[in-house]
Amino acid sequence: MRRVLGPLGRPYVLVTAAIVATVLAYVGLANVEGARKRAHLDPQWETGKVNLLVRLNFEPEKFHILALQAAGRFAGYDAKTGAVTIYDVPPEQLVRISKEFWVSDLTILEAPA
Amino acid sequence: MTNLASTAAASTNAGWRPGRRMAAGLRGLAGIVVLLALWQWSVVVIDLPSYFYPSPLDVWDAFLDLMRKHILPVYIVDSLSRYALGMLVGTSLGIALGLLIGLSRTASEMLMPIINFFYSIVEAVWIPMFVIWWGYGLKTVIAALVYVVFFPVLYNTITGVRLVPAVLIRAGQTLGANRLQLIRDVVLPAALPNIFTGFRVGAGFAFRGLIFAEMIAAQSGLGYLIFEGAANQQTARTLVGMILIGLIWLIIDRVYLRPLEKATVERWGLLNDQ
Repeated sequence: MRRVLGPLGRPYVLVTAAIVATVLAYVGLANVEGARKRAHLDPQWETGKVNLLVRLNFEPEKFHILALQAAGRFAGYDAKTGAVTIYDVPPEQLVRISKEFWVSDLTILEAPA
Repeated sequence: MTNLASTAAASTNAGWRPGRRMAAGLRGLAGIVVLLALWQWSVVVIDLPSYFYPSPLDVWDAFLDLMRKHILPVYIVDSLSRYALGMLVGTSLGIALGLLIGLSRTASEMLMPIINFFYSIVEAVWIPMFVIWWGYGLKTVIAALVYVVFFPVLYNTITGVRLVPAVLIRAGQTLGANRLQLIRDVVLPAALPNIFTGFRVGAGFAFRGLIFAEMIAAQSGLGYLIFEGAANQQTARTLVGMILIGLIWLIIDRVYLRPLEKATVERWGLLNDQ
């Protein structure tokens, strides 16, 4: 292997290449996932803040709650539906949340009365 | 003793064959498997709650759970980014100041007492101050890392600069090199093996410092995972963090630091003279 690849076959080159490839694949897949989750949303999210229902496939931990709190006003978690409600989510934060692999689905909520 | 000597000789032998390397790898793997089996067996024998003494299977489950929830990849990336940034800043500062002190008697006399004073204050003592100044987060962790990396790089750079043979400097001056060219083409390459020694020592210290700083001053990262796991009686998660730290350090050391050290010493160091 090393004889065929020459200096490119050195462990640090291979490991670095593997790390870069993994990061690129991760980012690429996250973008694809994000686009898929945003595809069915009402386009109103692109023009201003929206209220959002974020579904997860598991009970959120502190890690997920902190990430969601950074996106808007965290309104609570419903254990029955496995969904988190966040108010006033700006477009760039919605894009960020949609790219998270642990988010299974997004729904835009009507503004609270 | 003879065995140790022959093993050392075999490991440094340039003609070491891939087959032998694979056999050594397999023996290492067998050691790990035996250790895991003993650990699993001891869990059954000792029969303590899993939060107190988790089994390898509990640790594996915790690892899968952390991966499924995408906590672990983010924490690993956070830790490694902080490590890389801290190493970069700490090494740059250490080399720059080391060159200054190594080359200037005035700077040395002015700065060395202060540096020696701060060297005696370990980074753990600084972290509460960093938290007061910058709060819990990236800046505090990076500041702690820079502090840890800075001193070994600085001291080794000073040593390296002071050990540059005068004849090399004079040769450079005879050839018409100005001060900047002397530093770039003579002093820095000659000091490089020492600088790298400092870098390597700093890299080890920084990894330990990173984990410690994350335990105290971060909301993510492997150090935080270890601390949070223990605090919430998720001991298996703590062990996942510990094992990953060991593995990541092994990779950093084996894949990056050792080849870099070898290349540096071969190019500018004493290996060719031996």
